This record gives sequence, structure tokens and C-alpha cells, in this order.
Amino acid sequence: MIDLHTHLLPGVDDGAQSLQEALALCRLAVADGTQVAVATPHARGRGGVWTEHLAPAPGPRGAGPNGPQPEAAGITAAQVEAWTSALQRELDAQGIPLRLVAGMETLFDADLPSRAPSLVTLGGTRYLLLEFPAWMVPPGAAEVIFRLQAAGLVPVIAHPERNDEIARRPELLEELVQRGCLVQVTAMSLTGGFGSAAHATATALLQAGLAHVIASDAHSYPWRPTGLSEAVAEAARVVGEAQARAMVTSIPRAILENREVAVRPPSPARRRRRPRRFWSIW
Amino acid sequence: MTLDTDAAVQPAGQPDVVAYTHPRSPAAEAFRTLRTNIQFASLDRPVRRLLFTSAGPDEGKSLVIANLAVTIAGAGGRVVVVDGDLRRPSQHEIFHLDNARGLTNLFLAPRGADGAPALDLPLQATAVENLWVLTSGPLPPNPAELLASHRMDEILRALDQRADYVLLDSPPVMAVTDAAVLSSKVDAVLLVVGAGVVKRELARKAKAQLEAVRAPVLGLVVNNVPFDPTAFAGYYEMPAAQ
Repeated sequence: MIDLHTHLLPGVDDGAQSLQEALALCRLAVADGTQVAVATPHARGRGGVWTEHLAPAPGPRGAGPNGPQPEAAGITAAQVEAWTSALQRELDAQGIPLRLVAGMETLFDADLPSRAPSLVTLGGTRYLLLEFPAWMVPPGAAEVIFRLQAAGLVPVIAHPERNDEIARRPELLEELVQRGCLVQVTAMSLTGGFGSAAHATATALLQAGLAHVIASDAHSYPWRPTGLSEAVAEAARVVGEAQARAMVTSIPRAILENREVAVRPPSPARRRRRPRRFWSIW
Repeated sequence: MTLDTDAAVQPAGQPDVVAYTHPRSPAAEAFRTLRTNIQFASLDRPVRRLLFTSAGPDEGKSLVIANLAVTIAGAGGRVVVVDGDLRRPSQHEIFHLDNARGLTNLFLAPRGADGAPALDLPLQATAVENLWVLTSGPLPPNPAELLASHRMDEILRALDQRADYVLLDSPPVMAVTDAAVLSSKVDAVLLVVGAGVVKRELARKAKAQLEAVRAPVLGLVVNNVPFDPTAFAGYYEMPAAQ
């Protein structure tokens, strides 16, 4: 399995805080059957909330950040690469068979398109892991996403099931999918770890064909762990075994290989028009 | 929804249209008739930019365009299909083409060195000689504004240089204003009417709406007409016989 969204890099964001914790999360991932994990630290700097949040990094990696950077231009691709290979060396030394890929979780911001060339994508592909503020879909999201796409990027919307506005109005997400965005739901939402609301929304998104990838969004051991298989089993009940497996195997693989993930969006024009019957109210 | 990760296996550029797959079928013959009719419809003023629209969705205008494009290209005319339906584009699916770059990218293209807009048309060749497709590109939040802009005029002029015929796809007239906006920039508008799909009254209203903005409505293409192919058996070669 491939885990597209993790906060494994120690001391970089609100994810793993120590090398020990990072290794524990990686061991757990391997034990659960994950072979590849993308390290997706929160992009800091403008629009990022992690600048203030961060304690000075313990930095077992040498190249690590020395706490919040006042200029806070955001972390660069080179930095994430360096931290990722540092953790990879530790994994190799400990004999933990997990392959890491460098990525980033980018917080939505109106100026993202102007920074498109320097944005850090999933493994350097066209796929950008994009997070909205937890309570809303920002006004102008369609415009920003259009410009990101015009710059050659494909947004992968991170955990929309935990977004208050999407929970109320899933059609907002449907529009983004029709515009060519992909959607990642978080494993713990499907297994109920984020409460019944996130669980209900995640299930509804699966049902509506509005979710394409399941990832752990692992932050800490043992509270927000790695591991996908339990969530895949949950998803299989909704979308079937094959599709649920694809969400942690073939689809994330296509993403990391920078291939096109052809999504046929659920559009009214393509929906089979079945005769409405009085009991078909759901 | 289905996730089709095998999409790359499909032959890129080969259209899923009857004029291509079954060129001797009665349906393909109907498109040759349509081609001829368009050529003779206005002898005094050559028709080069054609806009296709319909009253509502699912009347088949995109497939009519693709079929007609194949038919014109087959007769040696250079054709560009432009997917001007920036809301629910489908030409890239019909022709199995990538839609990462297309028409909308041209609205964001950086200015050239001399200050003039760089117009590097991302035309995609197809399996059909003389036939290119300009797919929609990423879907913009403001399609009507883009289509109404001067930039669109420049794009169409650039396309005129590349092709004898520019066939434009567009959203339904009754739904949004896009087709009406585009109709002022073309030589002819063809209203595709899906028989059994659209109500007569709606089709009439669509035509009236186009005429209200002085769209050069050339005629109707009636699609989806019930047809019994056995009536012509032996005269035309049937698809099954190929």
C-alpha cells in the first residue's frame, strides 16, 4: 500500500516530534502493509499556521530547521528532500522496509498560483496536496484552483470530510472534482477516530464517488497513527473491495508516477437516468 | 464514478465516432450530407467558423461536431475542433486526448517578448489526418467572460490561420449565456436538436434566443432520429459487415 499523506518528519511540524516517534510510526506503517509513504509536512510561512506553533526543532537531522524562521518564506523542496532522506537513512539503518517520498501539505492561499513553480508537490509530480482551512472552502477557491491547473498542477484535496463547510454542502466538493481535483480522505475518519460527523461525511463522499485516495495523515504515536488496512476494509463496504484497494494502491501509485488519474466525475449529464420510484428517496 | 487508471491504454487521438469507426454506415453518410449542406448553405460568404449548440444537455452536439470534423477532414479540409464548452467539456473524451492544456490556458498565457500576447496554440493532432483538437483546458470559474473577451477573438484569428474550418462546441443555450456570446464571433450557428430528447417548445425558444442576439443561425441538425438500418440493407455496407 502507498500512504500519500503523513507527518512523519520529526520536529518539522505538528507531526512526529522526535526521531523515536517517527520510527514508531514507520514501524506501524510497515506492520500494516504500507511500503511507500509520502512525507507531507505542513508548508509554513505565508498562510501557514505552523510558524508560531513550532517549538525549536530538536533536529536529529543536521539539516533540520532551527525553529520558526522569522522570514518564513515556507519550507523549500530542497529542505523537505534533505529531511526525508535523513529519515530514510535512519529507516535503512534500523532495517525498517519503508520507502519515503518527499512531499508537502500546502495550505490554501490566494497567492498560491503566483508561487506555483516553487510549490512542493507529491514526489515532484504534478499532484499538489492541498488543504483548506478546517471551517470553510475559501471564497475564490475555484479561481485559484483554475490557475493552479493552468500552471500544470493537479490539486489533491486533503481530508475534505473534516471540513465544516463541505460537511454541510458536499456539492462544493463535487464542483471541485468536476474541475479535475482529486480527493484524499483520511483513514481515521473512515474508522470513526474523528467522530461521527467526519465518519458520516467520509462515507457519503465515498458513496458519491467523490473520494479517490485513502491516506493516514499520521501525526503522532499512538494517537494519530499510520496504517490504512482498517480504513480500506471500511471503505470496501461502501465502494467494494476492488475500488477500496485501488484507493491505497493503483491510484496513489499513478499519482507518484505522475501519470494521469482519469476520473470520470459524477456529473448529472452522465448519470444514468433511472425512472424515479416513490421509494427512491435516498 | 469509475476510476479508469487504464485510460492511457486507449488509443490517443482515435475518436469514438461512427464517421471514423464505420465510415460506410448510413450514419456516416448522413454526416457527408451535412458537410455538403453546410458548404452549399452560403455560397456568397464562405462558412469557416461554425458554432454548435443545443437547447438543453444530452442532445448530442459534441458527437455531431466530432463526426462532422472527421467527415470534413476526410474530404481534405483542415479542421480544428475547439471545445468551447468550458462547463462540461467532452471533446477530449471523444478523441481520447489529455486535457491538461487547452483553450483556457491561452487566457493566462504570458505576454510575448514584444508585449504582444504569446499565442502558442496547444492543438493536439488526432488519428485523423487534417484534424486537430483544442480541448477545453482547466475549467475556469468565469467561462462567459473568457469567451466574450478580445483574447478569444485573437485565438479564433490564430485558428483561422491553421484551419479551413473551426468547429466550436458550446454549452446548451437555455442553460447559460456562453453559446450566445460565442455566436457573435462565428460565421454560422447550428442548433443540434435531439429528437425525443428535447421538447419542441424548448428548441423553439433556443432558436429564438439565438436570433435575439442576431446569431447567424444556419439551420438545425436533427439528431437521434429513429432509423431502421435494415431498410437499406444491401445498398449501404452495414457496420456488422466490416
